Amino acid sequence: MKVRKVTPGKKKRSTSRKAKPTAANTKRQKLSAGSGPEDGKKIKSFPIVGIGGSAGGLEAFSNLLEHLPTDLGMAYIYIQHLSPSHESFLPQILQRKTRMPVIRVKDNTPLNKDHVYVMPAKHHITVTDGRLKLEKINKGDSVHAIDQFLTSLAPLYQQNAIGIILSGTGSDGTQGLMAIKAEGGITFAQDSTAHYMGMPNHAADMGYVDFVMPPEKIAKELASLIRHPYSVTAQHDFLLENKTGLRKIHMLMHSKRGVDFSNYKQTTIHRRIMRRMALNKMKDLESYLQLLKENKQEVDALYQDLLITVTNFFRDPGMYQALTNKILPSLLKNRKPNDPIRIWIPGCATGEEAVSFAIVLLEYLGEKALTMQIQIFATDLNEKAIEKARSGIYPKTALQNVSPQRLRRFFVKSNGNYQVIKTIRDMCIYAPHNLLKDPPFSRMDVISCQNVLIYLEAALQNKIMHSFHYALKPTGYLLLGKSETVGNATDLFDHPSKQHKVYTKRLVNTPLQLDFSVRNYSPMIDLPEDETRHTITHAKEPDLEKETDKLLLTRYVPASVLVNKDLEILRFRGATSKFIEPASGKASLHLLKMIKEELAFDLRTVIHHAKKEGRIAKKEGIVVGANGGSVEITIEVVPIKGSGRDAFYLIIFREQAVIGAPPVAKKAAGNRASQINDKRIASLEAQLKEARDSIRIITEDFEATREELQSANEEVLSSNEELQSINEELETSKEELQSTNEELTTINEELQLRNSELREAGDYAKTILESMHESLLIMNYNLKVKNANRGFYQTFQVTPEETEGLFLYELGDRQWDIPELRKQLKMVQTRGISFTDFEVTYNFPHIGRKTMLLNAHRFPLKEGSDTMIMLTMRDTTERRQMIETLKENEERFRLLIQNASDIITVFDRDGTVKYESSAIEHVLGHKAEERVGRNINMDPIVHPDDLKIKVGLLKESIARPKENVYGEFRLRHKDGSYRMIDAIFRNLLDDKKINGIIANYRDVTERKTLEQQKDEFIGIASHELKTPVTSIKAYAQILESMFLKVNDKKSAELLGKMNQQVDRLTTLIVDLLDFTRIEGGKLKFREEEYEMNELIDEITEEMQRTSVKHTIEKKLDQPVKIRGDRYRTGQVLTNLISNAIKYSPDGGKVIVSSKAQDSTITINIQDFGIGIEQEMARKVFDRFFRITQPTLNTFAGLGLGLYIAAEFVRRQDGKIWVKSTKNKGSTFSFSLPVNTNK
Amino acid sequence: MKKKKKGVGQRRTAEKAITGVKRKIIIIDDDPGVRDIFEIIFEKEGYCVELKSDGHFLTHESYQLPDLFFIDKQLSGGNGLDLCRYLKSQSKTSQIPVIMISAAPDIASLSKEARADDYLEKPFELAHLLELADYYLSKREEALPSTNC
Repeated sequence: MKVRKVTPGKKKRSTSRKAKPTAANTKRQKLSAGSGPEDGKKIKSFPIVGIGGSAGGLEAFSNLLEHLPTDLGMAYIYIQHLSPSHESFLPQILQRKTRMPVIRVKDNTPLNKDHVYVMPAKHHITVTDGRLKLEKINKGDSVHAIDQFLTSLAPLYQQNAIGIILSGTGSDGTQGLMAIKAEGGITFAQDSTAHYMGMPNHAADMGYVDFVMPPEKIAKELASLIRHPYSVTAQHDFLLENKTGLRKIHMLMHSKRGVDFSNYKQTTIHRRIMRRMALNKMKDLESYLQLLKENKQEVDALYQDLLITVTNFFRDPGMYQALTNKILPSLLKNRKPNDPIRIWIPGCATGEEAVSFAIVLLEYLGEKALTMQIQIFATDLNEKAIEKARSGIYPKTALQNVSPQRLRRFFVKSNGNYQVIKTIRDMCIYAPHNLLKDPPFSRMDVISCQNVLIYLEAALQNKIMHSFHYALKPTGYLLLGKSETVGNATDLFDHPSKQHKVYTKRLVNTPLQLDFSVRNYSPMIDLPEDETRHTITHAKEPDLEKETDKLLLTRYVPASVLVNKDLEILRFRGATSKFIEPASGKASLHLLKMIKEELAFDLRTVIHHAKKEGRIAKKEGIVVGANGGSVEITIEVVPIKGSGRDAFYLIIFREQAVIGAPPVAKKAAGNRASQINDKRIASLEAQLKEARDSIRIITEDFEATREELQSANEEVLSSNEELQSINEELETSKEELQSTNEELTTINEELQLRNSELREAGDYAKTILESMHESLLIMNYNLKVKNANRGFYQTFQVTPEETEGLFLYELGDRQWDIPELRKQLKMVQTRGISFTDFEVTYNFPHIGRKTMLLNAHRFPLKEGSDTMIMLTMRDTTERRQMIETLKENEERFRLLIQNASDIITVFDRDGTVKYESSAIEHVLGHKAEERVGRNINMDPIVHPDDLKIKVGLLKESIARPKENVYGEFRLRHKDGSYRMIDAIFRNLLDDKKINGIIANYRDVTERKTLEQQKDEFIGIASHELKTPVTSIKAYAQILESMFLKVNDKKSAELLGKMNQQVDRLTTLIVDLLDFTRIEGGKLKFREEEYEMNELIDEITEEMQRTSVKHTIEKKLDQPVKIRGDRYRTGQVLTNLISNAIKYSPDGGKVIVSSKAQDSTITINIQDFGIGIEQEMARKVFDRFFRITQPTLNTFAGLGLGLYIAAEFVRRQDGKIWVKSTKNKGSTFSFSLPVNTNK
Repeated sequence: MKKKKKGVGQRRTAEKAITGVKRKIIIIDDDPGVRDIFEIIFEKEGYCVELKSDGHFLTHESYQLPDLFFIDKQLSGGNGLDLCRYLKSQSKTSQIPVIMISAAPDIASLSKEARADDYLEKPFELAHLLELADYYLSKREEALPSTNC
């Protein structure tokens, strides 16, 4: 069943606050649906929490949200008083507090579980059909947005509605909580944690709040309520399962409070009991019953809950219209002036309806109201409500349906609330009254019983109908609530107007059921005896008594008048004409003006006594001569306490006895005596008359004074009224101010939040600016510096004091007064044209020459006095210098390359020339431009025989990236001659900057020629030097042999020595030449393949011959063929072996060993001679190194031998080293690569 | 430093050949000192020595073919290696052994290139010189008829 069926569309709820009828409708539907646990209303399947807040509410709600579990399955609608002129950021602010989605409500927003809804500004929000509706607020509309929403929520969601009022001033929310509580929902108000206690306090003071606690606890309580097994959300009426328990509760309530709720609509009753249980966290009826027995307060709370009533001023405008248009005209027709209009309003609650009736009546009657007597009997079961009604004080929120005119006319402001004016309060008589128990009133013109019957079962309704029928005058009207009917009692009432629930009495006898007694419960439960019980049993007797009294009253009533404290006559009873007659002059009902003169004095005295003492005063035996006879009259004044502080007085006149004509006894008395007596009487009478006259005069004076005083008093009263109205106006202004203030506070809260965000943003920007290396100046429109960042102060070495507030051009000795900058800034100032990267180079006094890029922007870009200009300066001095240096370097390198004697060529991968340096012109006479684009394979200037070499170099270079590849070829000069070119190729294809193969050509033609000449020279020198030596040596040997022949041994020996010296000379010559070659890089190696062992054999054999003292031993590895210069290697061996011999002067062994391993062969020459010290060992292969030990003086030489040997080894990619121990001998080793695979 | 000692046996004295005719050796060297030494040594050994300062005679004069040539590499009028090549290219002289004499360190390979039979590096030991001559002359003993000096 959809709610649409529950609340028919024709009912417009938004215009008037008809919470109750809707609720009644839903209830009726519920009943007809069989009140099962699943009786539809899907939209009520989850609770809706309405949260109201105003000033200080944001913080409280944030707090609540933070503590609220996000999975409670409820929807939360936050109603906040918002400024209409200010855009709210509530949803964004609140979203930070919860994981639940926070949604700004739009019209027709559907409600979902675990969502938070926030109302937008300038709107009222209501709920219908599970959707939120928005209504634009018009000026002058009520500002009670919270009430508006909660009252729309309550009837739809009933016990599923939860209302929370948080911090805020004023009283908004109170009505809303009342509505929610009335429908069985639960209500909360913030406690003293609220910054503004107005709203929560007001609601709590009015008694509509179940829980008063801080927001965090509210969150917890919400969670525990929702998780309570019989929580507010329980659909199932589980109480039905425990009839005994219910019965016990009914009995308890009956005994304690005298009200039998068992005939009330049980669904309603159960719902409220369940609500109380939920609030008390009671899980079953028994424990709750126990609580009720123990806790009187809970009984009161339950009683109040059960009786809770919702009423409003002018709740059903249609009905009041009918009242003015139809009922009152017909009632007043032919009405006698002293026939009071009697109206009974049963179930008046806090009296709003009664007051509404009174207002309508007064308005309708206008002037006539003064004379017309109106009695409105307003009754209710709830004594608390009656008390409230009597006071006639209502909060402003309750008066929403009261028009401002009515408010002004019928209400008086007091303590921020409104009190009904006294006239109305006088008209309304409030009394506690139980419709079912107490006898009805009688002779009523109108009975208005709104929304009472709906709470009662049909049987009771019927009974009440009979009461009403009895109470009404024959012409009387019965008004019922919109959803109520007379039910079965159609025989008693007519329903002339289908439009309104206005019934007329049928003129049938009321089948009186004067059974207003209390049903007695069987004493199966022992209820605690208390005074209430006694009152119940006593209750019977006054009824009979009353009836009797009534009877007696009509028959034997003495003449009496009821006056108010001003002695205005209110009622006349019995025959008063004997005592009272209208005075001449202005018509007046004033008692003392109407009372017969003879009684006036005594009456005044008696009234005075009664007034003074507050109790009955009596004067007996006032003799009044009437109709020739004297009558003795007793005047009794009985003070009657009326409602409020007003006192009434009932003045009862009684004729005691008739004193007839002069008594018979008089005649019997002596004449004389009688004469004396007569005289005396006459004189006494005269005296009396005099006295009376004087008293009358005094009285008159007194009266005059009194009247004067009265008028003065009236004046005071009227001034007071004026003051009051001023006060009222002030109050209204105050309220307006308050609501403005509230809005301001709300805005302020938001602003504070925005402020802190702004501050963060500011700090953020400031930090960025401050940590920025660039200098930054912020100036106003006139270029006066407002601010500069740290970068500026650091860069220009100035302080804020000498910067801020100055004009830009004044800064630092007018150093910024640069004409071009002025021009640019003018454009920025006047037209807002920014400039960027405007370069300035300037000599600054402190920091020297700086180059800067200046940028200026004007902001905000619209015209205005607070326009700012931002000038940023980037110090590009270093960059500038770097760029210049870079340029210089580039130029230098370019010139170097251009002017280098070497030609630099860049090839791409396929050998096309991408670049050739202009050096080619110097070297070969060709223009560089002619060369670019030519392919290496078709280079016309390469010597045809060498083309292969050059192409080969390129290929090899491609194969071996980033390695130098060396080669030689010939290139033809423009003059036709060929030049020898020494080339280095290097593959830099992978280098992104070069992306080519770089070739460096050096013209080595001259060098080659020179080298050749040098070679030739060395050859010649070698020849020329050696030739004479050869001759000398040969001659010496010939001579030696000749001397030997002739046996001249001595001469032969000398010649032998000479021969040795020649050998040394030869070695020196050979070494020198070799050294020259090595140093000149002209040592030529001739590679050939040879067998190492063979070479060693050869050399050792030869060396063995030079010494007889030494034995050369060989320990050779297997024969190995190696590739290299056999001759040079032989020289190395010779050198090392001759050294071994030389440095082991005492003879002994020299071991020559070889070891072939991997692709190298290592040869060791070991001697057992004098050895070398370790530190010397490293230097032995150095040029010109000579072992300088004294013992070695004998071994002189150039020191080139080992150097040359080492060079020979190294040039063949070999290694040479020595291990030596002093006095133990040395081992010289060298290794050579085998290289045969080459 | 000298090589090719293989097969060079003990020096045979010239007297051994006295029974036959004298062996003839032509020495081409531009240095008179060296020429003098060769003359002294080889004549002492009983060889027939003919001394020349250059190779002019080879092409311009008729001469008696020797059993052995000693040619200095470095001649003032030309290159001894060229002479060697020439001799080796002429059918009547190609069989006559040629020994190059030089002070150049690379004479070994140079003389091989010029198809010389052997080389002698300056300065040399007399013994070595005689061994070489003896060796090549003894090889020629069977090959050629003896000639008179």
